[in-house]
Amino acid sequence: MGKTLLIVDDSASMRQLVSFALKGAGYDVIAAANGKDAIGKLGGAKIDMVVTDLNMPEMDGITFIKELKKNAAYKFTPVVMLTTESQENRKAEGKLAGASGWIVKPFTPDQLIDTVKRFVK
Amino acid sequence: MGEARKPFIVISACMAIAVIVTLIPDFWMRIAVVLIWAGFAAASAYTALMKFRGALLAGAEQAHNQKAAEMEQQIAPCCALLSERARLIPVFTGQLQEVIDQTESAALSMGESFMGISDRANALAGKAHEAMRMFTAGQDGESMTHMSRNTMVDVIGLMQSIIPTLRESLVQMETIIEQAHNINQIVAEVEGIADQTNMLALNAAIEAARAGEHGRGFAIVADEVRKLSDRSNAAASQIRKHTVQVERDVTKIHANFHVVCDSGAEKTENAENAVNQALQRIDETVHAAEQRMSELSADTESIAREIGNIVVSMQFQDITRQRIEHVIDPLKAMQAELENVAEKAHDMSDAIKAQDCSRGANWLEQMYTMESERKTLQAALQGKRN
Repeated sequence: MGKTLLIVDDSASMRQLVSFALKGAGYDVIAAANGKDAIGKLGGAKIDMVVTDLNMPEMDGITFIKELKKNAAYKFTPVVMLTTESQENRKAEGKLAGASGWIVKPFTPDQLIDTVKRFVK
Repeated sequence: MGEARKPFIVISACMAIAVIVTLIPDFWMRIAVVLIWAGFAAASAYTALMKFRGALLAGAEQAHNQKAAEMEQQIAPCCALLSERARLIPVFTGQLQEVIDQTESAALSMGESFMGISDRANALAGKAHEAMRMFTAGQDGESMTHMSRNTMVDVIGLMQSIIPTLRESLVQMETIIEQAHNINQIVAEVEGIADQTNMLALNAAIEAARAGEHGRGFAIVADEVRKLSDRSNAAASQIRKHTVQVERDVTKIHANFHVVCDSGAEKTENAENAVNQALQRIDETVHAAEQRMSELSADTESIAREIGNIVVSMQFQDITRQRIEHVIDPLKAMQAELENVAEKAHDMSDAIKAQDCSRGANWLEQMYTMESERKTLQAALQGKRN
């Protein structure tokens, strides 16, 4: 299919599961442990969508989105939050920073793939 | 000097002085003695007062120190307990962190195994599907079974088409045999005619002999006619020989063909039945294969669903980790608080011991103007401290 997604989460088993679900649907995956690591790994590569956790060490999800959007290459890349957080004010904060969607953990592969298909044509 | 006897002594001294004064005649001498006595009294009173003050202060300080010591006695074990408990907390947080680390590595290895199994299951399903597809659909869109079926139907058709041809040949052969009979009949006619011609020729020869000279020409003609009829007879018998041979041969062939026809018909019918049975079995097999394929699709779908459920369950480690971290962080905060309280309590007892007393002493020291006052204060403080 040729579409590449970026997954950012400080839990290794979470990264493993999301990669598995996405690769099963035919997407390529880049994985990073936190915002800083993600920006380092991207280096201007083309990605079609970002899936990121909220609470992470070094750089949390919302700060990461803001940093990412500063780069012109990723200004319009869709970003979806994948987190245990379900409070409305945090969701609003995320949307304000530039998140296009919100999935509450735990996720089902179908749910994740449907969300991805909504934003990646 | 006994403290209890002091007022008694003072009163006695006053009385003695009073007596002495009354005894002194001179007025001004009386005044002088009274003044001197008053001076000594004042000085001793003052000294006593200062001593009293010092004692009060020392007493206060002693009480204070006693209270401080009492409080410290009570607080110290509490401080010790708090400090000890605070020291234990890193042990607990360490254990909890260990839980996080161990469940993470367990989850990761479990995930690897699960993904391996999932990949293998998918590969197997794919292979089975492919095999089934080849069986029912074949390589160029036509399945093996379909081709077999078509071939068999063609063969049967071919076999079936042979029989009418054979039957046609039989009919033709019967026609030949009939014709042979016809020919023989005609030959018989010809032989009959030849015989009659021969008879006529004989009669003609006899008549010719009777005619004598005149009949000589006629006798030659009659002779020729006889030769002709002989030749006809010979030809006729030759024809008959050939036609009989033909008839014999054709009859033989006819008989053979008949056998072949009949057995062929029977064999074709048997073959047709066998083929129909085989085709039926093929159809059943294909039907069964198609059923297996749809079952396979259903199984593949249910496997996919199960995989989805497993993926949800496997996220337990991440969620558990977050819960545990929400316990570790407050514990660490509590540890800091405990240590803080223990320290404050310690400071408090130290402060009570040193701070208040020193504050009181400073105040007094500033108030005192005389060196002796200060000396008394210091002596009292030092004494009680020792």
